[in-house]
Amino acid sequence: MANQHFQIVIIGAGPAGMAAALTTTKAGLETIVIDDQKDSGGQVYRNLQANQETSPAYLGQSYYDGAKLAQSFADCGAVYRPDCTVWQITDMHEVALVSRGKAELITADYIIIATGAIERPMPVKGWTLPGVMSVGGAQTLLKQAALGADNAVFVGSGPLLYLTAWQYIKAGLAVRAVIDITGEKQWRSAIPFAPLALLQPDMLAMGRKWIGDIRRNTELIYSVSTIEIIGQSQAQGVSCTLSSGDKIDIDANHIFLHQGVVPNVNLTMATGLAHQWDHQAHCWRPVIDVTGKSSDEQIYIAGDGGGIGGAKAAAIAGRLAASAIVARYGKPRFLAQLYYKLRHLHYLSIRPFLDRLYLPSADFRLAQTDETIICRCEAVSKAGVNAALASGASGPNQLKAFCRAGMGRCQGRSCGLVVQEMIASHTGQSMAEIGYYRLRPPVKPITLAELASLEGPWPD
Amino acid sequence: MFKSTMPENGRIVHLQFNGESITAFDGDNLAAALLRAGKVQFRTAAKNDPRGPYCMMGVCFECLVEIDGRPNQQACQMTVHDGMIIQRQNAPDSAGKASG
Repeated sequence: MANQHFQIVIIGAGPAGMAAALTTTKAGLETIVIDDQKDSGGQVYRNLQANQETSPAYLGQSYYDGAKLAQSFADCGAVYRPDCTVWQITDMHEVALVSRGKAELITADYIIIATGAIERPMPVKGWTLPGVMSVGGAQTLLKQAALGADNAVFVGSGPLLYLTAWQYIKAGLAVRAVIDITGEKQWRSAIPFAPLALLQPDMLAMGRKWIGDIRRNTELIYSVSTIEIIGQSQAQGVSCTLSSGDKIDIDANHIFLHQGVVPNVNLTMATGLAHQWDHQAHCWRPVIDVTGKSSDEQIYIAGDGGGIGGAKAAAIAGRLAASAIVARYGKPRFLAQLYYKLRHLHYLSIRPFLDRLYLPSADFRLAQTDETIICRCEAVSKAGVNAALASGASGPNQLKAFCRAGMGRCQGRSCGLVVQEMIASHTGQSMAEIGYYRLRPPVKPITLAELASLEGPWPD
Repeated sequence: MFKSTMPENGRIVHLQFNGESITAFDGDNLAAALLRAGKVQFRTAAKNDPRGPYCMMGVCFECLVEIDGRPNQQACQMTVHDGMIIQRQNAPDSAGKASG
């Protein structure tokens, strides 16, 4: 019934997807890589090949480290389809996508999902105002369009926040302030895992350099208990209260928020794969074995979409999943697999430390004031979600019907974790018991005209 | 306001945003081009809530605009072309009320 068949369909052309394609094509397997961006690299290596021409130094070495992988991918012989939206994976392992207004189905022996991470929602009052962006969004503007804003304020915590503030400083932009929400409690829970993190000395040194340069070049504000963004039709400033009780007001038209990244589970959940609540990283993740194999024998998950590990771990996870699939075609790669498994563990050694240090406190995971928007799409406030809870909504899906939170175009990507945790704290149940929104295809909106463009023949 | 961190070059193209002429570079990301031109509000959500680009990676749907008559286009996922006509997209209950 399908338009095309490939032995391997890889969804996502970030580090995991690109690296997986190198292994499958080398083994002679027909491989297609489908991606929603215009160029390979994913978010972490976004626009890398174009940036190499002018090589702005402010993007830093960790960005240009992706160049070799991107070049090998371009040369590997996989069919590469940029600018495509995957909206469903069917029970028959058909991958449904839309490209330039036209829908297609591609069937596969094996599917590798490498759709990466999204930023954890950071619902502070005023976070929907124009001028407020996620730090990831600000970094994308820098990589994609060489755009930055003077006198911006960075708020939150986590490696991406420090990296982007550092890139801003190196780009010659004036950073007004960095407001760091990492609390003492997080340090206390992370410190026991610092020795394990020492297995990644380069990453620790990089983080120290970023924070040191930030400290020397802008105001670094710590020990914050509340944060609020001020403005009517666009952001005008940030107001924060320190744990000492002092209040600080900073004028700013550009405010960038970030409190970590979580696996992008929309496609894996809508495909019906098993997921579990990750207590350490405080997020959902697909259930996968050490090679990335999901609860469906034909579907593997590689990279941050299977659990946050960063770009280098993602590339190794892509290799590992791909070599496990190659083995299932009767070409075992025992030594390669062992090597990838050890490298992967090595890269992940810093995670127990980072996950604990940069897990935001409940104050910042949950909104602090009643008027704070929780569901951005439907403009549902914390008070609106609480009213639904008070009238008896018992889980995310019922709550959606009560107050529309999670019903909009982003399909819960911006509110799901917050709503779920609000329910958990209301009912006293665990996050695993509460569960997540029931996600269904299409995982990205498509038009009826696009759907109708699918070519048959159709089964009876 | 967003500004370029590298020397600007490229072929100039002309766009219209809510009737106002804007210049961009050929191949520009649409959301980036509008931000460079000082436009931060792209649409209104329910309850006339002003919104602009947030995630820049296609996740949040806050940058929706109408492009050449087609509604619900994610500006952060689009590339500009010469003569592109962009309208701010207002939520049904706030049509015409947007400002700025």
